[in-house]
Amino acid sequence: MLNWHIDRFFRAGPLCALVTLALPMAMAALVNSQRTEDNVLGILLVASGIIFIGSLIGSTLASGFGTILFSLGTAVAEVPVLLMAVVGISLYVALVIHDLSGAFHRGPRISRAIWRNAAVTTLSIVVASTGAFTLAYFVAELTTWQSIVVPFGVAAIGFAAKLAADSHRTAGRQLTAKRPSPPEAHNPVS
Amino acid sequence: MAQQSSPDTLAGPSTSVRLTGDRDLARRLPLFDVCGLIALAGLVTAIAFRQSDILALTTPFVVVVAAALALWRPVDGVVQIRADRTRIVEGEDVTILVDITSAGGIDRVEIELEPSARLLAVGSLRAVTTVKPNSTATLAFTVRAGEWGIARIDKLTIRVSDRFAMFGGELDTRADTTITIGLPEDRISASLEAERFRSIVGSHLSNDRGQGMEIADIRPFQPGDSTRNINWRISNRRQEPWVTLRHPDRSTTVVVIVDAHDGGDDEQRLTQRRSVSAAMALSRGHLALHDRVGLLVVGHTVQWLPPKLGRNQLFQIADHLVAVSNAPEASRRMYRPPAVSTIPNNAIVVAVSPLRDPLMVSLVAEIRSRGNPVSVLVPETEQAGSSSSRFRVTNRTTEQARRLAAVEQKIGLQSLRERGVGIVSWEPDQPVMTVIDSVRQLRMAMARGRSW
Repeated sequence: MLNWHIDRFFRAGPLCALVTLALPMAMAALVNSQRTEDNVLGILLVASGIIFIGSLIGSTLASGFGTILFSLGTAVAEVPVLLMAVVGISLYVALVIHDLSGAFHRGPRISRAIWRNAAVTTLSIVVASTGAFTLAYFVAELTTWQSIVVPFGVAAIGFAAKLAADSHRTAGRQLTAKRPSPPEAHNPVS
Repeated sequence: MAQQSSPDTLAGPSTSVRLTGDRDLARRLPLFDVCGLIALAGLVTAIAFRQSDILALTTPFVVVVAAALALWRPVDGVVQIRADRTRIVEGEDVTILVDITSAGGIDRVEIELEPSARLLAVGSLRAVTTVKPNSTATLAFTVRAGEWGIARIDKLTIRVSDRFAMFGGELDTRADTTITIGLPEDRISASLEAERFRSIVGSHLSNDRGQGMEIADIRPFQPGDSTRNINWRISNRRQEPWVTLRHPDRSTTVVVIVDAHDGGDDEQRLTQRRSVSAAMALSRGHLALHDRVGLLVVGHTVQWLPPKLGRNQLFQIADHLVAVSNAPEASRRMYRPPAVSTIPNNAIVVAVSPLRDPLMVSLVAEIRSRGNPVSVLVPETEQAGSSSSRFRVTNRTTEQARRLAAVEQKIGLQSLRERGVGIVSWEPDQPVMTVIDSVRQLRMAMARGRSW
């Protein structure tokens, strides 16, 4: 059993797994230093542990559960909004690293382009989300706009989700559509 | 590592897997569910409780989900697997090349190979790479031939995903490319020599006259060539005289019989391996001496290769012998193949068999009764009391069955000896040359006894 755990540890990419532990724990310490509520650190550390275990066993759902728990703990802590943004980005980065750790199973050879793509993608998401949040926060802070933005925001989210789902479903159907079979060769016998 | 390559630098049979249009490669991955759940929960909470701060936590997840949905496109590509060589010997390395071609590009593709037990991995058999649009990425994996036989890549696993790891899937397939693993040359040639083996089967030089029948090659007419060798059809076509070259006629015909009994346990596999080595060495030696060599494999598989000359015949024999290792489990034994009647009456028959099966004994006896000189090389196995099998767990029934089989084998051997079949016992780790010498002396003694 011990051998299985050791094997699993190395197959899951120990370095990536450790990063998914270290990053949330650093965030937990940062949040704890800025918190206004008690007993938050325990929640955050437990969440960090769950993310770490998820990376070790290669379970995205476990790491996702840890991420949700960590987000909940951060929301309860009522820390400054800038720190919240940093935590959100860190949690996303932790999930990306968790996903990459899955690529380490059985010690494969990994192309350099994989790392480059992951870095570029993550950086793009971080920049885009920072911009989006800045815009959303600015709009949300405008008291006069709140009453307009909230209902329209809900509608916009739902509409965007529906459009995206429809688009994906349509593309999926086109992808797997049954193609017409080639005409049968002329058979003089039949 | 992944590298861009020209379309094809190494030829060989290949297996293609088309990724385009596969629903299994367009599925939602768990990361999408997790990110979507966090994004949705954050948005609902922020809006419901009017807590815009919550958006700070969830915005990256909202953005990545939206980006994944917006930028998703179907997987488009073809994966081709091939080996740089399809014929190797034990201990040699072979490179398995996997070409991934895509018109639209694949952000992340993982290739994992699972070879059959005869192939051993040299390094990792898993690689992750990307494929740029309108290009081909080539991954090279090295495997080592572990045991003789026919090997293949049992499973080829292809995993693809988009750059966000939100959509993708996995596809398992089997590669049709087979790799023939032969026994090492030096080991075979050192174990047996046909010239020495001739001594136990007597002088078998053919009385036939002539220049031979087997066509070896054609070439333009040269001074000194006999006009009888002119190939008129080709000469007419090329408007100049061409001659046909022929193999010198055979000295004799040799038929090698291999008992392809079940290779279930280690002992049987070892015996089978020795039988095949001996048969291969005999065939090679006799072919080198311009004998016509045929092969009859009997047991749970029946293969008949009519006697022929030449190098191609050696390759044919090697292929048939290697196929012995991959024969399916015994379902119906066929020890009386139709090919027995086609064995020439003047052919020397050399059987390599442990003679454990009475049916094999009766087959050898039948061939001997037709007048063919028959010799049997019997690869012996280690005795039950030897050091390697001392600690083997056997029950009483197994032991009794083993004894019964030994008695049956002795009876069979005795009956074959009475019919004039030369029996050569081949002990483990014993050079076969010594055995052949002792059998020759035995035959000479028997001949003297008959002359008295």
